[in-house]
Amino acid sequence: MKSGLPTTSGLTALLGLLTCPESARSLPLAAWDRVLPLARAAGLLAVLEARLSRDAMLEHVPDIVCGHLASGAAAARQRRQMLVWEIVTVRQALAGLDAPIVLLKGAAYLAQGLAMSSGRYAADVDILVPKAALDSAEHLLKDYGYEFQHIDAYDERYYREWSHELPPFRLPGHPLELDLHHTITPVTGRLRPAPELLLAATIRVCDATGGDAGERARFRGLHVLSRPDQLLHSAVHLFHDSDLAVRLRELVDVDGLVREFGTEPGFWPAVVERAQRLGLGKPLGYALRYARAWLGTPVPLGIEWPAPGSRPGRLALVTMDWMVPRALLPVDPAGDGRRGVALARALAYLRYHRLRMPLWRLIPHALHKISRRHDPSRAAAS
Amino acid sequence: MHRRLADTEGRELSAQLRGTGIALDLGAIRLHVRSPLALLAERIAQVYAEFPLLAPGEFCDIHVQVVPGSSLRRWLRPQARFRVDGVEPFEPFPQDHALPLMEWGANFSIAQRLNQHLLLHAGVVAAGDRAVILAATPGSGKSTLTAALALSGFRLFSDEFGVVRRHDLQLLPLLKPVALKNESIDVIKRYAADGSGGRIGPTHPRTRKGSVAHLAPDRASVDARARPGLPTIVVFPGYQPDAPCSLRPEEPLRAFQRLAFNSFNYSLLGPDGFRTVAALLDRCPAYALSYSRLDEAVEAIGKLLETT
Repeated sequence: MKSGLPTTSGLTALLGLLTCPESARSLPLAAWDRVLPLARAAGLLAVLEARLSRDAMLEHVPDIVCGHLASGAAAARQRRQMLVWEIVTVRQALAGLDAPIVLLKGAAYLAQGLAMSSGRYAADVDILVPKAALDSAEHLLKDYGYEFQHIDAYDERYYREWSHELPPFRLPGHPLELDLHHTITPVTGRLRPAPELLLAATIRVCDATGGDAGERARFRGLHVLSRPDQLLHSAVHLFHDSDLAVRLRELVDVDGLVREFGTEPGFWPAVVERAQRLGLGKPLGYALRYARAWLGTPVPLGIEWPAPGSRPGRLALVTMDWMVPRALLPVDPAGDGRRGVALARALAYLRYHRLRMPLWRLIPHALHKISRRHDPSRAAAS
Repeated sequence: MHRRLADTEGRELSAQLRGTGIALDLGAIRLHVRSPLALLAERIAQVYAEFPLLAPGEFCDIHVQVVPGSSLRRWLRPQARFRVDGVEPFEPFPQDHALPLMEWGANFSIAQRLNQHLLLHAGVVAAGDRAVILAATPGSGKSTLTAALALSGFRLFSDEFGVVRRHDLQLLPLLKPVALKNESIDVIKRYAADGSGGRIGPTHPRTRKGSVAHLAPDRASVDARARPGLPTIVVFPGYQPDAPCSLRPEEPLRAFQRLAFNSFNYSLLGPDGFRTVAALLDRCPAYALSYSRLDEAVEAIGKLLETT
């Protein structure tokens, strides 16, 4: 089983539709019955709708299924509006900041008007500022009315000392949280790409092409990572800073970025150069490996492990090939693809924490979290 | 012609519920339920009595499971857990509350997923195809009044969801048992006994929302569940102890607010939500109803529908 290709019919059909919406032409209603719950569990219902609609395939989809797709699309439209609102608000709140404000992930995809952002359901807004500007950014946000979400002193210290972001902010009355980053990976983790390199390469939103000009004007002055760095960031986020559980949609992001940027001249040599420079060859290699295997992502030959020494050992690769599909893909509630899922997710969870901080730090942290879970005073409060 | 649940042998029904499951065709959607709990099969047969017994078939809109709690608890205090598409959105319930758990779970799933339509938080009944929307905040007696109307010969669409198809403003039945709470259980039992005598399932005491019992939809409403209704009047009912029955036209702006802000997905739908509510109120006159006696309220609504 190469790269742990998924086996249930529902998953095969879902991945087929995402990659090639044409396959909707021949998909029977009974198959949709399996696909919709999986798409919903993976948070991809509206992405699926966007791709089918882009390729004029909705007319080949049974009406009853179109209803569900339309429902997902309506929810995603509302979320998109919330996202625009939050980006515009942050831009205003940080107008006085003497440093670039870099939109990351969903906010960046939207601001650049990338096709892959249609139907994408953003959880929150992530922005990056230089570490030197972190304090002033925090003060400006607080002056504007942003507040930290309810956290205790331990959590705050955890975020400030060991994380790559401050605790989540929220402006009262606003639906989305704001994460303020000073780099893209935890400062205690194994991979620590230098944020100065990322910041030095950022581009302005209005220089990025695509999308509606009127909407882009609302993001004037904001920055995004360079295109190769956006791909690297999405790969690092998935394979170095997540527990992988049901994160298929992040692999779909990787696929979307490759399709969006991959045909530009000079993109791939730049990706390889940046992966080496930033030390992110391994997570990029994993992301491209599974994206290519499951989503048919057009990655040029020879870009398998983009940096010397980034190729994992045989045993590591066999383990990942077993674990990643079981952790990353949604489980078909009607199917039989459940075997090993619990173990794979437990392993992925351990791997995530292991990559995030060394054991001497992880063990006391885990003990604190566990003891707090059993603290009756907190249980009563929640 | 399919057999109805009421005419199916208990053992056969529970075997199907345990195996491939049963499909409940509610009109606007098909709900697929699977459960190994024999008690749930028995309860479903009571409150979905007139529904046809269907196999899941090719497609169901929502797939739910009600499964027993795991491990040791099973022997001490048996529990029931609700799953929709493999996800568990709630804490377990005691096992004898499997039916209220399934009903709440199904409502929760419907409220989140039916955004292709405008979903009003409203009871809907009709005379023929001319439908009355009864919109109100929870606790204002909306379900009780809907139940009384259904027991008085009106066609039942729903006590909870006013499903408005956006392109043609037709109301779709979303037919489920009417959930009666606390005092309204006895009120409706008395009302039923005085009239045609509806079928009310067992009372589940001390659930999270107090005591709950379910009024089974009648045969005529079940058989008409595929037929949409024409929105004809909007009524905002308000139960007031000892108040005389009175109907007064609701002023347009307030009617808009009461209808829109009581909907599950008005804001999610954005401009489409606004347009749909506005179009609905262009078509239907809106009234505020205050009442203390159900029979008077039922009569008032009947007359209003005749004269509109």
